[in-house]
Amino acid sequence: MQPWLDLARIHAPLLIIVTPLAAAALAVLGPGGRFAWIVASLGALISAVLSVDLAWRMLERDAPQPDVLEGVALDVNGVAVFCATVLACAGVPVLFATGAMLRRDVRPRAAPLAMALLSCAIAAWIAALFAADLSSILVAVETAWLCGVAFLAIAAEQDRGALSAALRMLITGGVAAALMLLGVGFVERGLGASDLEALDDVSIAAPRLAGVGAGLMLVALTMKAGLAPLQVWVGPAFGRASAGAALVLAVLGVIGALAVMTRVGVAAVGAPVIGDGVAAALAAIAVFTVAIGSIQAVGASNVRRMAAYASVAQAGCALIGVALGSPAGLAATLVQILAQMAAMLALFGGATAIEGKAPMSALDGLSKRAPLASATMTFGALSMMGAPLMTGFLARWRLIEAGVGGGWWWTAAAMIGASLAAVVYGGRMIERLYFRRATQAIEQGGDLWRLVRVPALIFAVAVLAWGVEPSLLLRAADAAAQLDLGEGS
Amino acid sequence: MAALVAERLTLVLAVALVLLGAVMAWTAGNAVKRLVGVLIALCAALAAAVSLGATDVVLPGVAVALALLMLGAALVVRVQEAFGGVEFAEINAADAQSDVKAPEA
Repeated sequence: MQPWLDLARIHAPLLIIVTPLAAAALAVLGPGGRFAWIVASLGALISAVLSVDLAWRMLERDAPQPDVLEGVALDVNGVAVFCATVLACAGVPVLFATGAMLRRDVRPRAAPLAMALLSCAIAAWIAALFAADLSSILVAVETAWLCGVAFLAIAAEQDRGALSAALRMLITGGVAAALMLLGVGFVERGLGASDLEALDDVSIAAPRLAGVGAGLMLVALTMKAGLAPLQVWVGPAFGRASAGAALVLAVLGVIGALAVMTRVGVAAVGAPVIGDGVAAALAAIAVFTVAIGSIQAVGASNVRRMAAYASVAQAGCALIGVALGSPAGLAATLVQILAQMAAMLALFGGATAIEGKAPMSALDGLSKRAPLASATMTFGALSMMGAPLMTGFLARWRLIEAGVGGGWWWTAAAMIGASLAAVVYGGRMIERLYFRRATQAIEQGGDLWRLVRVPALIFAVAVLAWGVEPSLLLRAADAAAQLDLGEGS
Repeated sequence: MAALVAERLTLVLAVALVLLGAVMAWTAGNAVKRLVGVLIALCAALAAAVSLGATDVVLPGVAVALALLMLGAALVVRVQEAFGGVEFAEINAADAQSDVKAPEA
């Protein structure tokens, strides 16, 4: 057994990508939706276990991953390992919860395809994190994006509006793909190489071309992550998506794109000559995203739209750490990405208790009818606010610390502004959940949908647990940042 | 010299076409036209990549463009079936009509 485990560990990065892909193939070939659900969940679980083991070895025990010839060019760096672990671990509850909702959201014949698409999306986002060369990053990002669009369209049984939202998402993603392709061309010409690591090279052949290319790639990823001012698909997609599709978009789509953006951004900010310009552009996007996302979340009239815009504002906070270009900033960004993933899983998982297009008033008195769902949503909202003892607080604190340490005093104002806005929209949500009487009959799922809330509740508790005892999380984030930006990296 | 001018001209034209395609994809009133805009932008980006000498991205780029075209065409057909048209004005009106109106709390 041990030799097999050692072999698996040597090829862990490839296995983390291939396992969900194999599960997707089995899901499509299998006899039905339930089989596909089990196989896809198992594939995601194996991938998550492998990624946790890889992260444990690399970030906790400081054991470097051996270079092996895989047939595909992989680059296993700190950001990639940390974010791949976050995505793989998020993929398990998302697949489990979405599978439980398939009977309601998807035609029975399409259920295996829906599960296969989700497995492919997980594999593709992780592949984009591990990919060494730019064209592989492009293909992986587009594969993941198209899987998300296709899943949104397939899960449009209850609302045809999800179809138009999927079309808008596809068009925005298509334009982003063109910009990314153009960016890859510019970067390759500018660097004279096709791998992302070449950006660290002291002598870039054509720095302006490389800078424009890196900027175009980041703009494309901004569109995919739904960051301001290019978040045109966010409102329609989240406002009309089924419960499962909204969970997938928030936890896998947005977090996946944000993670890839972090990886590309770290490489670009660290590049000589172009680094300062890219950092300034990222900081501007970050502040704009925090402001616009917070305003839109405060003004949202629909529960899922509110949560989606809150996610946009949180993503803006994460970008500030990337723009700083320091190990402390990057470590804070990684903690923020984890906090956002857990908060979104809790928020959107809890929101499955109400109908997709339900207005804010649907939350009135929900705590009496669905106490578990209300509790998960409350934990998610508290973490977004940056309430003490929550992971969100930890992330904000580290971001402020890194910003002030780097001389960017305004980051403290941006973080406090984001938290104050979150107090308004999150507080309004909590007030409706616990302090109002129900004013309308809300259609809820049957007993099966309670399954959905179990993983959401687990992550809601994790939001608190990581906040109370953060030492392991902080060590892992610091180690990942040191691997990429520390001395001798 | 002539080759350099031709290369620069191709690049400028390709970048202009990418922008044109992007504008068309965001502003056209018809879903098919928007999809065509995306394809124009993608094909122009491929041309730009070729003129920049980034030939290893061409094959992945073609694959991405084809995948987008197929999924986009399938979505346009489903939207046509569901909404009875592919004009965004009609789709927006139908979406607005189906929105749940919040009762007074």
